[in-house]
Amino acid sequence: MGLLLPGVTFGQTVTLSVDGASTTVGTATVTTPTIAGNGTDCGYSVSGSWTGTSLTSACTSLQIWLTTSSCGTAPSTTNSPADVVVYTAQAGTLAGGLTSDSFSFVFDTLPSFSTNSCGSAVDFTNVLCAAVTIAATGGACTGTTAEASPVNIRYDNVLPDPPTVSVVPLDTQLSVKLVAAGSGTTASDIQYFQVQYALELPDGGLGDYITVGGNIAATSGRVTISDLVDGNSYVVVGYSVDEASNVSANSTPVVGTPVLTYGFYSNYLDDGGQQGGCGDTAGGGPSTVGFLIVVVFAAARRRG
Amino acid sequence: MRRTFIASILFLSILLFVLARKAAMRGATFASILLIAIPAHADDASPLPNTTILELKLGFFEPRVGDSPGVLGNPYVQTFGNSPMLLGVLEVDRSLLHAYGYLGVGLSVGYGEKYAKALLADGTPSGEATGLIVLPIRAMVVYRYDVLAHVMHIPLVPYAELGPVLYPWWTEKGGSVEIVNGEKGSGFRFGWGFSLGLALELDFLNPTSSREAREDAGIHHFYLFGEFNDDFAANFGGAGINLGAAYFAFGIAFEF
Repeated sequence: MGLLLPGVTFGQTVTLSVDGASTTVGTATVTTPTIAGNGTDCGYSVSGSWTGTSLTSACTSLQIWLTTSSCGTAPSTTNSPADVVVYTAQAGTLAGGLTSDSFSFVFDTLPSFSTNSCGSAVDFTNVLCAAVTIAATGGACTGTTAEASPVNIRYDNVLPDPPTVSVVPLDTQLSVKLVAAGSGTTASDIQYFQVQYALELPDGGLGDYITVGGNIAATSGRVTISDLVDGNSYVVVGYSVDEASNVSANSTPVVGTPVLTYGFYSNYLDDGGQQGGCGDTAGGGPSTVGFLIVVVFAAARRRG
Repeated sequence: MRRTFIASILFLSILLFVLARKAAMRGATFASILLIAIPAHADDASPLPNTTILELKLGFFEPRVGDSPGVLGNPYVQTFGNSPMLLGVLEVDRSLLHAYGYLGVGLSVGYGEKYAKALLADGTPSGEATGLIVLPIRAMVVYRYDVLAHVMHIPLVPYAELGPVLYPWWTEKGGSVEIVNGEKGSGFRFGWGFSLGLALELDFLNPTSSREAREDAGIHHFYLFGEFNDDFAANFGGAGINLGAAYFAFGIAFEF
């Protein structure tokens, strides 16, 4: 997640990396440059690091802070909720050659938690910022400010809507299609789906639910349940999972019944067609291929 | 020029011989070939360099599945309707003797597929697809009568091809090879096939560009062509599915 600010002049840069190369915060999913957590991540310690170049002439401390608004060049003294500084490297330390360091903060120190308790069903995004000012020629502290590209820190403890599920019966299979409910941000927030199915028993009850297909990408939204029995009915439900790993309630159950179908080969055999010849006897096919190869080889040799 | 004309008659006679289905017709045609073959053989056309021809062609292919041994109906039509599959073919020919026409060998590989909905027991379409895929492979003797173009400057090249064919094939249902009662719907069929075609040499459209293509890129000629093909891919009457077909194909070719 290293981020380089393209607008810095004179070669000074500050790069932020949060949670190292990891793509998760606790159990949550990260979509660069956003990391997201849910209610189970309140006590999680988010670790990060920064690296900088050409910072020996820094005239301010390098600060890393959390804010509810845009970053700017330093933590705001007027924001409400107040910005939270999570790391400071003094200018003298930078002048001594410090070019990288690590930091951490607990997830529930996000500024927005000053008005929302961690664990409540809210969805907000704060921003992690880093900046340092470089002395101008002559020593005045009016030079360029090196800013890191911000990293979004999202807290999302709102369950997504369950998907809409439809089923197409196939031969010993059910083709399942899932569509994210809602629209716009709500739908695009869905990262993947999960599907379960259960056999409908003769007494009207259900067998055990079986999970199938693993995590089904939201961009695909399709999975095929195989190895079923034609004529039996199966109940299928789907779940949506969002960026912060929140799992929706199950979708409205859909019943599907696999059915015997007749493909081309079935029709051929049903019409009296025979197996046989090269198609199904071992060795016939390869020997013919060999014959063709010999023909071509012989022709090539003759030409040569 | 007279001998070229005679040779043209000879070539057309050979085409007629190949096309003649009845023995009597073939006999008569063969006799006519003998009568004119001797003067044509005396022609002393100068040899041309051996060349390679690359062809790309498309055809509409409907296999004779209904002619398979034991089959009462036509499973192809029952499944896919009266709609041929689109067949794409890549062919490479190489001349071995390029003195009086182009005599050589060729190898072609094609791909054709046809999909439709698999049927339910009541004959209505189901929610899953079924398909037939064929991969025709041919090794051929090729004769192209390019004397008309080279000597008489008539930009037409009739040609004929003959040789063994091999048809790898498989059927699909629901995205995988169809299996019925443990029997897999796939395999190979072999037999023989021929083509009769006519190519239009395009050099006359822009002689300057043609000369530059020859000198700069080594491409001697460009062609558009159409041809009639008949493949007998039924293991010479053996048991199993008949995947042979008579079909027309059209394409482009370049000779280098």
